[in-house]
Amino acid sequence: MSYVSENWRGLAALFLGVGTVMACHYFLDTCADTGTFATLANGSQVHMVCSWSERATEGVGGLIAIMGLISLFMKQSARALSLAMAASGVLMILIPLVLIGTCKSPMMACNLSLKPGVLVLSGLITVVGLVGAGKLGVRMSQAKVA
Amino acid sequence: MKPSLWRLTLYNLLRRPGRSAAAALGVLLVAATLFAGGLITQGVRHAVDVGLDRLGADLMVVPAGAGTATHKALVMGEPAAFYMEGQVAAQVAEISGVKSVSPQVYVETLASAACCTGRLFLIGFDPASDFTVKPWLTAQLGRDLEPDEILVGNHVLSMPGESMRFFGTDFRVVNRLDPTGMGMDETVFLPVASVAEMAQGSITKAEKPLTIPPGHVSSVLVRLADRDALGRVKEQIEHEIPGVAVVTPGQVTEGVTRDLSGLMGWLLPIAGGVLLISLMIFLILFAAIASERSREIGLLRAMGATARQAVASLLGEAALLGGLGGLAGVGLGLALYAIFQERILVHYTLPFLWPSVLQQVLLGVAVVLLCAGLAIAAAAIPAWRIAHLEPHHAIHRTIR
Repeated sequence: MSYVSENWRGLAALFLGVGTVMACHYFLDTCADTGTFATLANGSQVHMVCSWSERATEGVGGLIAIMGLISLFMKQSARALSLAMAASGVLMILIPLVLIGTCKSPMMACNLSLKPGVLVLSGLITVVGLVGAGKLGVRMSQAKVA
Repeated sequence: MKPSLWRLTLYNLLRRPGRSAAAALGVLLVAATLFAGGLITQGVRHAVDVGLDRLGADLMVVPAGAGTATHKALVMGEPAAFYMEGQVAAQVAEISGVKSVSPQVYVETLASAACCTGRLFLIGFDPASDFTVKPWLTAQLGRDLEPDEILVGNHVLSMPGESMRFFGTDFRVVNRLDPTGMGMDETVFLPVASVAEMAQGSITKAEKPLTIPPGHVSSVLVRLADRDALGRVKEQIEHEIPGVAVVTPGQVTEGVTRDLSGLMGWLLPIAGGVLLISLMIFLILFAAIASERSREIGLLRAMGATARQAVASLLGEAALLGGLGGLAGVGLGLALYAIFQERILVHYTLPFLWPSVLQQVLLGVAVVLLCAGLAIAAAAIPAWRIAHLEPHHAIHRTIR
């Protein structure tokens, strides 16, 4: 078995985790990235809720990348880490939708860029995590039978 | 097909999960593209029908050169501010065939200080002559708006009872209009007299004063006595009143259709390409399956299974693969459209109102049936060849 086919779970987690951090930081826009801020009564401008969603998503992305790295070096933990990756994907879905949210108006930059981008990435992470855990589960049950 | 044959079919599909998944993936992509395309088309048409019906006008007279801004304001609620002499309303009313006219004043707000409303499009309507908001007001509120009251479109974030500040003047939201999927959903309606007061007050209260030339209006909504006279009245208005342009519901529909075809221009070739590839995969896959299983089917037939049952087994596999792939594709298409809806609509300047659940279900069922049907059609030739082999031939040779 080649290195890639043997370690695809860890590599995918590493790639998707780093990809999430990079995408949020450089490619997916929050309202602050387009120069829109909330103005307080005292006149000072502050970041809106989407900026905090972006930071939280970057944090979860970083965690997924670390899980991928651990999975590459500690093979026996691959299944548990795949499940944790799927759970992290669900957490990432919840960040812009429920836990922190994005700006209210559907036409704001964050709702046109950050939210859809994060939802697609987190959907991919969840599916990859579930497939990775599922395939290992099948292999383990076959090994038990043998 | 009998239950035992369904089990056999399912077992055959699971025997080579990778191959089955690859075939289903092609179908999934076709179904997702077709469903998303169909959903967008249905939703855009629905929005145009509801929006234009709510507007209630047969024509709109706007300043010359303001046609594009009017289209964007009508379709997307993009704030617009342009003005023409108010006497245009009276001039239009005098033209034969015109039943009633109602002037409106457009205002583009400053970016809101509160998170996250952005700029809004305000429309000042004349309560005495209006036929866009007034019927709704009469039915829902039973009275006219007070000077400090506003009605908001369905997508404007404020709720009834809350206040909104425009150019330093506070207004109370009385109610939200029903959704139309058009620009009206992003619009705030208030009496034209309130717009004048707001403009006056903005000199001292707002960061930037609102300047509307005195006696000017932005558009004149026109109702005709006879809709068949639309072409003649349009020409007459443009000929007799200098400096104006006429926007008809037909032009709005045409514009939306043009924008929609821009989207479909790349969506449909993708669907067509993936469809061709999927059909080829199915043809190759089922030719291989027939070849691989001719011995097994020959044995089944020798044990008493009819040719029809053998065909049904193969076609059942194709239908199941096509149907499941199609179902997953419908789910994927719906999810992707829901995620990227706003981005697509803003990019292509499209209005959208979700079709009824029944229409969505019917569209989904049609897509799944189409996928299953195409899969069956692709598997039909190898299945037919198997059906016409004698059992002993099927056992001793493979199909080429």
